[in-house]
Amino acid sequence: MLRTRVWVPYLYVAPAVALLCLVFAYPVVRVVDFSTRLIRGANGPYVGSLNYQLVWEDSTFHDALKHSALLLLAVPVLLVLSIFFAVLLYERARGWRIYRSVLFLPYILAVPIVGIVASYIFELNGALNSILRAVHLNGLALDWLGSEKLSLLTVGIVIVWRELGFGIVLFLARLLSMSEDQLEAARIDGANWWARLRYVILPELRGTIEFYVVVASITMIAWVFAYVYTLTSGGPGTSSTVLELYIYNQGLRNSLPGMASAVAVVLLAVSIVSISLLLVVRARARAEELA
Amino acid sequence: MKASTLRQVALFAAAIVALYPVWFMLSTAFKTQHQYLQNPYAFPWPLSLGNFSDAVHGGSFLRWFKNSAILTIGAVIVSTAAAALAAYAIARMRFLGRNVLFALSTALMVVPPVVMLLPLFILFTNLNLVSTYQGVVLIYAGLTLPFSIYMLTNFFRSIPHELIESALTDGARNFSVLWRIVLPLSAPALVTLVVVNGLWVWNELLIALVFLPSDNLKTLMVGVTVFQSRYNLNVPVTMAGMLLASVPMLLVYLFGQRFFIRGLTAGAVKG
Amino acid sequence: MAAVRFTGAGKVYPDGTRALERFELEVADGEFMVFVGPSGCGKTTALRMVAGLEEISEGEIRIGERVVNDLEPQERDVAMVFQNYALYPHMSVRDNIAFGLKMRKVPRGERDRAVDEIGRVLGLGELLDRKPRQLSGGQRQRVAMGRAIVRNPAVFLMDEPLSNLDARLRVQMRAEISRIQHEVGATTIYVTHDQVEAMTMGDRVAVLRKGRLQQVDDPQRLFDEPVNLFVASFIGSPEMNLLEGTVEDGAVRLGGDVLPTPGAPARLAEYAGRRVAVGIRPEYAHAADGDAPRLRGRLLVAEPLGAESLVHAELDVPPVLSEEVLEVARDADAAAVTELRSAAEERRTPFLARFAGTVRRGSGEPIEIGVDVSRLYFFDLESGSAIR
Ligand SMILES: Nc1ncnc2c1ncn2[C@@H]1O[C@H](COP(=O)(O)OP(=O)(O)OP(=O)(O)O)[C@@H](O)[C@H]1O
Ligand SMILES: [Mg+2]
Repeated sequence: MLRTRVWVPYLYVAPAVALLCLVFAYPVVRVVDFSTRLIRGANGPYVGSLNYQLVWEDSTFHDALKHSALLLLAVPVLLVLSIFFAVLLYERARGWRIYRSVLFLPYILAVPIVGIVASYIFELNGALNSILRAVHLNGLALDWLGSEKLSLLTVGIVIVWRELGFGIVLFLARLLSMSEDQLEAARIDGANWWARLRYVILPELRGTIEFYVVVASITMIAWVFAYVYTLTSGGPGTSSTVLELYIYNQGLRNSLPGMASAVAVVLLAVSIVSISLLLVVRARARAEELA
Repeated sequence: MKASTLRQVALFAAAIVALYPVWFMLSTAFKTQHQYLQNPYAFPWPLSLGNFSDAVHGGSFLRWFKNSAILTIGAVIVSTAAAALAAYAIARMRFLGRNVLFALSTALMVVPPVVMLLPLFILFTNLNLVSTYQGVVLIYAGLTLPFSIYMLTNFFRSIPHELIESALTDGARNFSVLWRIVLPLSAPALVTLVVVNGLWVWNELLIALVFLPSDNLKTLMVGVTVFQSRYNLNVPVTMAGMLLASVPMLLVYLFGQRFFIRGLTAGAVKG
Repeated sequence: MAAVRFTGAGKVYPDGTRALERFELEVADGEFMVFVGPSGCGKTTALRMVAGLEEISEGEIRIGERVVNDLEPQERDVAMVFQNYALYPHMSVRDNIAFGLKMRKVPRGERDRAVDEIGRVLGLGELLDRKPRQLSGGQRQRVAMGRAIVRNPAVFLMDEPLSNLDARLRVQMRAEISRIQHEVGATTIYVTHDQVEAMTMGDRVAVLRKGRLQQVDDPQRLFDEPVNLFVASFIGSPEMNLLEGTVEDGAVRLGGDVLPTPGAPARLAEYAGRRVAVGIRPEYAHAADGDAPRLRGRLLVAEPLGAESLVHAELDVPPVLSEEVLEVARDADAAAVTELRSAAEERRTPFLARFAGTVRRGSGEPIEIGVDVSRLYFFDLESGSAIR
């Protein structure tokens, strides 16, 4: 530890604290406040839980909530695919470095660009359906974006497509940092591919899996605005509206900041619960390790 | 089939899927509208270059690019500077509230920006910070700050304390120790920060959409959505535009791949 | 150049560990002072308090005329050489050495001249543009020295600077550090737990134990007149033999043997009939000749060292098992303690002696050890203090 005058450390943290207050603390306090007011413009009378009631009675909110929850299903898909491909690469498949670069490439593309490009690929008469028809899979040539049943699924597919690269690289990096003795020992002990994965690799990846599950869950709940906005704008109807888009629409399009704030508070609560879950799980894992 | 063959098949298929949208963007950009409508997946032949001049004239890619670059560079600098100062104090000085600050700041990593959107917008409207570079740089810097602090604090803690003590007895003040010893030794962590935060800011849409509505301040991400709605029906021109918008990142990736991959994973793998 | 004075200095770490207690010591201007003691005795702590890297909990420390308690490290004009050298890995050797001057705003030209001069003195000439990782251990050590002396500090602090070097290099650097210190003439505090290093390098040596100063003296006096059992067993290599004996009239009984005590201090008479600790340095124990006073025991093994042999024997006398002796034994080798304990139960003590030439006798055979009785040490068994 450095010896300093008492106030010096505060000088060092001041800019960061000021920024955090400006961008996080003040807005969070205000958003909680807003959610209890009837707002037109910047202020309004206190209305208690009215906004929450209005939100609760709004079927679009239910849709948005349901869709955000459904997007969480992409997390296990991402997890399994990431680990699967990371292990394939880790086993030094021929050309694994090139494959790594290629599989990571989608993550480099900006989300809005991905959304726009995908919106043309998945069009009713877009590239995907044309290819499917050309190989006589007409039955699979569906209206990916125009059908209420499929639009959310399509959004999910595009998200998985882009986010997978990060998962693969993350797990691969963890695998590469692990000592190979264990795997070699397991191989000498006669463990087959599945047994090595199950008993050597997965236990080793546990911390990274926890981390990734939480990061991916938060992405799904709270950071998919750009995908939805560029792919479907939430449509058709409300069939792919998610919480973030709902907040954006209510707050800025429909000028209902009170309701938007109420949903924001709900979203904040969900995020806090996720991080707490991570911290609890990690603390428990660490306690186990120590024991 | 042998295991290694299966492996190759799986990886090859995945590679095709990963590359296809890029290929689609690339091939469509070189087609005429007519060619595209006839067959959206065929090879572009004869090559047509007209889409690019249309795209360049129809969009303001250079201006959008400039705006995005200014915001990204500004936000990364502010975020890194504020985080470095704070992380240095948290990692190396004793003060009341140190652990609380670190825990809180770490927890903020998961708070979604959309939660703060409305109050920030109202506040910035009152402060006349909407439609300014400074305002949005502050927001981006603030939003990336929790990760920056987390990353740098952990890194600073791993620097041998003798180096710092040696610099102190050599006559360096606290700030010179940070500037001349700690930061140069933290180059890997700084690279990570630049990559992760830069990528995030560069790709950000929501804040840019709301806080930079005026035409001459639009970022590349907002620009491409505007561009797309303008050329909605002319797919080849749209793709030419998307391709132009992707070029900077693709170039960075091509030449700085190692930094990208290492940077993105460094923080997570240790934890 | 300045003297360093500890007055009632003490250190309690924030977690409550007491590392230094009522420390009183003056290091004279230009003196080479060595702090020595077993692991954890507070040497590093004392040194870091002088450097300003640890707060001074109690008392005061002066450098020259200034009380430095509240001064930052950079205001104290001290230079420190760390055990692992702490060279800045991202700077060249030249920049490493120049760093302190740069921080003190010495103009560039002067800085370069100083670095070149130091480089010449330390033989670092062609290494100046390398990075630390491109240097060998000994070269790094020299760079660390150079970085410290280039600034011409009031006080030089070194914390076990040789412990990372191999044995040969250590001997060589020992001489070199002494030479440089004499050339520069800077007040130096040198920490080590190697008592050979302490004895060969120090003008004076301060022996610490559990945060307390035991004795400060020049190496010869430390060797000849240890103030207590701790210093006696810590200083000297091979270490002093310590046996339990009973004081008789003008003599001391050690098991079945009686040694006369001609040069004994008058106060020993007060212990008549009581048990005391008797110390015999291996240097004053030889092959018995004529009818000189002797101790009888069994030979365990004799290590031939060329001109003489180091004789490991065993006497039927109880050993001294005081806390001080055990602590020194533990510091050297944890297993030695159990060995000592079991020896005590069987009332036998390992004994070291230096015999001239080669010993031609087998293990287990009886052996007679002649003792220079004017060189006996006596200690109170209760307090551990020397009787004199
Ligand atoms: N930062 C600290 N916090 C708490 N206790 C400490 C701290 N540093 C040292 N100590 C304790 O203070 C005592 C003295 O430590 P010090 O490092 O001065 O010993 P030393 O004589 O240098 O030992 P060594 O020869 O092993 O280096 C030890 O008991 C040690 O455990
Ligand atoms: Mg020490």
